[in-house]
Parts: sequence; C-alpha cells; structure tokens
Amino acid sequence: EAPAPKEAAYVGNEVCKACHGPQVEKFSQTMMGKIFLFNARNQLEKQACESCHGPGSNHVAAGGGRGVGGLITFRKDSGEAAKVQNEACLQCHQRGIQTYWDASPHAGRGMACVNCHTVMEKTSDRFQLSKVDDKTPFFNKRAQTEVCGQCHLQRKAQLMRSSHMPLREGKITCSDCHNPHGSPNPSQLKQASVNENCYTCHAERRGPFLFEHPSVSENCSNCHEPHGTVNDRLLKVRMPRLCTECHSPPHRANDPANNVGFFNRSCTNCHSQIHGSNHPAGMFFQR
Amino acid sequence: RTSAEIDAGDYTISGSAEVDGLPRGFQGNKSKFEEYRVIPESVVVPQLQLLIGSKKQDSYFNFDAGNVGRNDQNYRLRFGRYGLFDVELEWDQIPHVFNIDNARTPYVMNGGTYTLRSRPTADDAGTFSSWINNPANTRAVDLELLNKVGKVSIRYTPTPGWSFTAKYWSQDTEGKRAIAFPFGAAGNSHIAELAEPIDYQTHNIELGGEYAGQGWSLALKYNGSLFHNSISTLVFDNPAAIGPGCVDAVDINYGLGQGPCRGRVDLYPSNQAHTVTLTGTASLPLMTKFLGTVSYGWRLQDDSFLPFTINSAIAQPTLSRNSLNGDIRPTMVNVTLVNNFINKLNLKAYYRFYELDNRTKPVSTSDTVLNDQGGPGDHFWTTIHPYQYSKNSAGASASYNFTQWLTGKFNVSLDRTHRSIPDIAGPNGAMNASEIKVGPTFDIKPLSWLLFRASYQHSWRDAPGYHADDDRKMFFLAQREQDKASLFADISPWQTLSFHAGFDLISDNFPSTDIGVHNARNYSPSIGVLYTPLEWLKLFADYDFDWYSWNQDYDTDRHYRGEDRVHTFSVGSEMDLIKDVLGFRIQYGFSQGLSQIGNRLDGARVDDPKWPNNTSTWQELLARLEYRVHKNVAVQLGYYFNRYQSKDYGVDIMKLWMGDMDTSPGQIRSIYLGDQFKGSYTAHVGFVGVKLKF
Repeated sequence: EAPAPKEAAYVGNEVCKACHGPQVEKFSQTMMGKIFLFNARNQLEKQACESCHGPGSNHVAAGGGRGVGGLITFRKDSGEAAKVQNEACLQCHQRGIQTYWDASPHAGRGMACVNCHTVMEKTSDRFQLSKVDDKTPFFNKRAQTEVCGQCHLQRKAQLMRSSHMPLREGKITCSDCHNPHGSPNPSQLKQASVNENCYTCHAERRGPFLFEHPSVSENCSNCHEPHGTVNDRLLKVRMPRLCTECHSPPHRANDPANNVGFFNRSCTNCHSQIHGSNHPAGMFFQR
Repeated sequence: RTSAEIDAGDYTISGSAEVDGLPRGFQGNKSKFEEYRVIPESVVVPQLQLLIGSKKQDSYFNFDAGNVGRNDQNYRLRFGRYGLFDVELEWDQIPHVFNIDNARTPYVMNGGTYTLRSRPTADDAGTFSSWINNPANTRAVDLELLNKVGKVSIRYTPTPGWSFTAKYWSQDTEGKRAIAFPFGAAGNSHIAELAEPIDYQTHNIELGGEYAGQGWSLALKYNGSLFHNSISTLVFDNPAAIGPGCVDAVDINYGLGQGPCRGRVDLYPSNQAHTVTLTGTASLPLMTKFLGTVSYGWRLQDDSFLPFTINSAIAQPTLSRNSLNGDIRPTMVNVTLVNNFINKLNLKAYYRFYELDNRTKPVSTSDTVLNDQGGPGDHFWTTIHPYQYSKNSAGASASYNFTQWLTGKFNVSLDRTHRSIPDIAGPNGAMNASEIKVGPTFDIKPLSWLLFRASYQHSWRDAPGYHADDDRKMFFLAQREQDKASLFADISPWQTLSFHAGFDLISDNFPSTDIGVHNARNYSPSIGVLYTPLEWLKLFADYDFDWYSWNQDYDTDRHYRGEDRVHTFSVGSEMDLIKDVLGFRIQYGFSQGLSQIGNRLDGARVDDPKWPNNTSTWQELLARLEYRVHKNVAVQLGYYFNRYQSKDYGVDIMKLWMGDMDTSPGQIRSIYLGDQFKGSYTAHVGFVGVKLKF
C-alpha cells in the first residue's frame, strides 16, 4: 500500500523564486504582487505565491514539475475545477463589487476568475484583464469589451453597428452598466433598474415629470437597444413603426412620400418631449 | 518594465510618449466620421504615460493621457500606497456629433431665446420657399454635444477588513441638437425644427464604507446626484406668422399669416436623486450563504410650471399648484440564499422587490391649451395622476455536476408586476401582470480544450386586465410567450488554434393581441477563429449575422412587417516579423445593415405603398508597421481607411423646407434644419509616428 501523502507545509516565496524567478519577477510588477511581496498586511498575503497555489512543500520535495505536489494550478489546460481556482481568489475578493459572485450567473455557469483576469503579469491598465488595450489615434479597443466579447459574440458584433454608444471609441465600456461579478439586479446591472442605469449619464431624463410616458418611465429598453442597432438613436425598431407598436389613431404614417410623421425624426418631429414633459401643455409630449 | 527606468533618488521614473502625424484624404460628410472622436489632419499625441514608483515598492504615481489637446482628450492621474489607499483623478471629454455638415437655421440663437432673422412677407408657398432657401436668411449651425466628465475617487483600506470609498464626479454637457415643435393641433399644424440649446451640469457623489469579518460583511453606501439645466425654457418665433410685424391671435389663419407669434417649451427640468444602499452577507450553517441588499431613494423635481401658452391672445387656464413637487421613492429589496451542502449540488433562491413609489400629488387644471393655439374643445385633461409600478420577483435554481464534465442547471422564477397608469384616454388605468420563467442550462466540458454551453428559457406572461383598444396597444403590458435560447462553443484542439461559435435566439409572441405587435423574433449566429501557426504570426476572424423581425397589425386591413438584417465581419493579423524589432498589424472590420418595412393590405386598401429600404455599410481597415530603431524608440507607419455609406429615406430628402413633401395646406410653413445626419463618407488617413519609452 502506497504511503499516504504528507500534509503539505508552506515553504515561503523565496523557495518558489529559486525555480520560478521569471514568473515571480513578472508578478512583482502587478498591484497584487506589490502588496503580497512587499506590503503584506496579514498572514494570507505574507504567504505570497502559496496564498493562491497552496502550500508547496510536497511540490518541492518531489522536485517540482507541472501539476506535481498538489498545488492549485490556474492554466487553461490544467484540468483544475473552476470552483477550486475561484476559492483562491475569493479568500480576498469577496466584497465590494464581488459581493454577489456566489449568486452570479457567471459563477453558476462554472466560470473561473482566470477566464477573464490574468494574475501573474501586468496586462490591462486596470483590473488585470486577460486582454490588453489597443490605443490608436482612430479607435481604442478597450480590454474589457474584448474580454466580454469572447463569449458574448452577438453583443460584440452590435458594437460595430451604425448606431452605437462610444464603446468602440473607448469612451465607455461594459462594466459602466454591468457588474460581471454579479449584482442583486436583473442582467447584472449595477443599478436597481434599467432606467436608473441609464440615468447615471442621462440624468436629464430622470424626472419626475408632470406627464410621464409609461413605457419610457418603466424601461428605456422598451424602445432602445443600448448595445447597438441599425436604427438611429439606438432604436429597436425604426420610427414610425416603433410608435405604432402601441399607438394607432389619430395619425397613421403610411406613405413616405408626403407625411410629416415619416421623414426626418418621424413622430418626434412633433412629439419631441417623448421622454417626459413638465409643461402643462405637454400632455402629448409636444411642449 | 521593458524600457530603461530613470533613477531619481528613492524613486524610479518610467513612461512612454507617442506623437503621430495624420495626413488625410476625405470625401463626404464629417458628421458620422467624427461622431464620438476627433481625427484632425495634424500632429497628434494619442498617448502619454508617466509611472513613478518608490524603490521601497510601497507607493505609486501613474499618469496617463490620451488624445492630448483634442476634444476627445482623456487624462488620468492615479497614486497611492499599496494596500492602504488609492486616489484617482480623471478628466474625460466625449464629443457627440449629430451634424456638422449641412444643418442651417433661420433663427438667431441667444441662450433660450430664438428670434427669426427675417420673416416671410406673404403667405404663399413660393414666397415662403424663397425666404427659407435664401442663404442670407439662414446660418449654418453645428449640431453636436461635448460631454466633459471630471472624477475624483478615493479608496482607503486601513485594514484588510475595512474599506472606505469616496467619489465625486461631474458631467457638463454643452452644445446643440435638433428638436422640433409644432404650432397648432393635428391637421392644422406646422413644425419649427430648432437647434436645441444644451447646457447641463450633473454633480454626483458616492460615499461608502464596508467591513468584511470572518464569514460576514456589511456595506453602507450613499449616492447623490444633482442635475441642473441652465436653459430650461426655449422661446422661439413662429415662422408662420408673417412679418414684419406680428400680433398674437387665438387661432392660426394661414391666409392672414396669423397665429401665435412665438412658441415656448419646457426643456428638461432640474432634478435630484439620492439613494442609500445597505448590503450584507453572512455564512450560515449547512454551507449556506446569505446575500441581501436594501436600497431606498428619492427622486425629486420642483421646477416651476410654465404658463400653458406664451400666446397673449389666449386666457391662461389655472393650475392647482405652481410646480410639480415631484417625489418618487424607488425602493429595492433583494434577499438571496446560496447553498452547497450537498456535494455537486448548488442551490440558489432569491426574492426581489422593486417599487417606483410615486408620491407626487395629482395636479388639476381648469382647462388646457395645446401648442399655443386656442380654440373650443381643447379640454384634454383635468387631473393628472402619477405613474408608478412595483415588481415582486422570486426564483430558484438548482445546479448539479452530473459528471466532472457535465453540469446541468434548472431555473424557475415568477415575476408579478403591478402598475398604476394615469387614466388618460382608455381603460388600462391599472395593469397587473404575472410572468413565469423556466428553463435549463447545460455546461459541457468533456475535454480541457472543448467547451459547450447551452441555455433555454420559456416564459409566460399573463396580463388579465389587458385589452388592446385602438388607441393604446402597449405591447410591453400585453400577454406574452417568450422563448430564449443561447448556444456557445469554444474549441481549442491545439494551443495554436481555437474556434468559437454562438447562437442567440429570442422569440416573442403576443397571443391575445389583435391589433398591435403580434410577434418579434431575433436570432444571431456567430463564428470565429484564432490561429497562431507560428510564434510570430497570429490570425483572427469573426463573423456574425443578426436577423430581427416583427409583425404588427395597424388595424384589421393593414399589416406591417419589419426586418433588420446585419452582417458583421472582421479579420486581421498580427505579425512579429523580427522579434521585438519589427511588428505589423492589419485588421479589417465590416458591418452592413439592412432595415426594411413591408406592408400588406387587405380588401380595397391601396394607401400604404412599399417603403424604400434603409441600408448602412461601415468599413474600417487599419494597417500598422512598427519598427523599433532603439530599445526605447519605435517608429510607426500606418494607414487607416474608413468608409460609411448610408441610404435613409427619412433624411436623404431633408431640406430646410419640405414644401414638396409636406404638402397638406396646413403645413406649408414647416421649417427644418436640413439635418442629413447620416451622410456618407470615405476617409484615407496615413500616419507616421514616433513612440518613445523612458
């Protein structure tokens, strides 16, 4: 009968460095490396490499080698369960924006933190993402949209449409609206409702108004597709047919040749205050 | 760091700078080309970076700048002590161009007061056309916004358990965008399209504190947001009132050129919002975790009401009070439990409550006036009640690891929505709806290089009080059956080759809707490949097709169908031709969208002709060669091509006066900005740049 493996003990990162010098050097350039290697605040952080990979004595005793000695590994092809990998990260990252990780759709689908983040070397400007920024004088590919676009293929394609928000210009990014680590809100939104998310930048539409437009007040995405469309102003359906989803008389925009409800901005040629009006004469959102 | 660091006593300094020249050839309209960016034909500084670190490795100071000196510039300064505090200051400018090519206006724009430079002197269409199309009577106007965002963010972590955050950010938005207002009621109206003056300021603050103990955490956060609109009223001359003098009249009489001399509108009112959020987590027995959030907020708005009309010939109806005193209290409660007691089984249950509690008191009036025109029977409303809704949601999911490579999950949830909608013109004063959602997901990873994900959800929304009448069909309230499916595959048989593919589907059916939206469907297959055949060569390609369609019945004889079809394609390569010396990158992106609306008429209907298609095609090519002449100096040569072509029946025809389109007698005085905001262009931009690292 083979002897039971000895319980592993911590050996300290100087021992790790003896064989993994280049990796430790790269790690030391990261925010996490600076804290763990030079500014540790508690025992866990002092364990440095072993705080994530686990105690290394068995690995050392066996002479090293990939997957030897029961270390937790994070390589894509390591075969390590995502849950085991994530537990290493969650020792520290289980509050703030990561508070809802355990209940998040990404956790529920077996995603590992390292699917999106790189730990061992400095990558993106922020958040140690597994993709890097690409700045040009013409467009800025933000690492974050590239990371999310790995799986959310339809969303990535939508960013290239004629009507889009400035994601491909690098001015906003996915996590301005969504928290990929989970949230108590639908679609992992950062705010409690779709509208409150939109009001973060579009505070003028927040109201309250004397005349509220119910479909607007309830959900901006009744009319808009924020990820990009081929219709102006990110509309899901081109006007006037967007409006005729709910409204019929008294107008019936039918012939594009001679109808004011058709050309230019269509129905909003007249109903320009469609997001709400505070004017006593604004019942039809015209003032 | 790959570059040489500068030794400065206890600190090291490093950084990089890039300077590019951009010779350019351009044809077409600039508006879409510079929609959210500025690409000047000059020398630009796209990147600057300065990093200062202490040799003790305990503190940092980083400065980044992008697009220096341009309208889309960005600056970020970040400094702190590792593990103790982090301070970040950011300045970002986001331009948003609507039209800087061909919009014109006859108005002299002075803050919120717009006066006509001159007035037509007679009422006939010919005189009106000559007046508005005479360049002396109009001026070019740029329709664009500039958002300036300033942020300060501080994070302080005195111990690993405690953390405090404070953020302040302001957003200033200035510029102009198109907006239009009618004079008079439908059938007897004309439109004045204006360049709306925008001058918004929003101040936001966030203060938070959090403590994470052994097995529990508690966080408290306050968010405040103050929005101020410096131009909240717009007064503008009525182009239908012929000159040179104008006297207000109750009714519009085109023959006499009479009517209201001016119009007045209420632009977005200043408002404020405050939210307090408490979040807590706790580890419970039986490997259960509790997560909970409660938030309560105030949305307030109390701008004074404008009078019903600026038309001095009409008596002002009285209102029950002078301002709305709007008061909405958004409330959210979420309680979630996650359990892992049984090995391989993950259970989750949640309850969520969201309420838009509108405590605004009803407002009443003695009469109404519409669009500055008087007339009998204009009694459109007497009392307006606030709109509000609440939503109760509960759900559960069970996830089980059947094998090491197969995980299945089943989700079920129930949403119940209660709405109170102002009883404006129909019976749908209060609407309740219940929606049940069920569906499985599967995550299959049979090999370390093979991953499949699949999910499906079916939902039933029952809305027993809903009935679509001719006035309001409100698809978002109607009974609905929805199917959602998603497939994803990631196949990486070798380290050098990986494929990914996806398919997303959403299908909505509204079974009880006779008139209105019957169904809407969207599907989108995608495929991509990443191939690295050689250490120095990377190739990538992606393709996505997106199809969206909807069907609606306007009435029993008129049936409308719409389709959007979009092809999106990108391909590129990165080559490290001489390792760390000569690199080349080329990438091409293409997106083509088609939007069409079809009409089917029953019986003798002939009044809905075929509508033209709308198309848009966008192409982008970037080729960049980087030669490192020294370990810290690189020279860049590149070429950027960008083309946008568009056909849009809505704006291709636009001109200042739509006299040949807008032919009904009552509308011959309508004026527009001629705002062809989707103009096509072709841009060729070369760039020569130097990148310096230190």
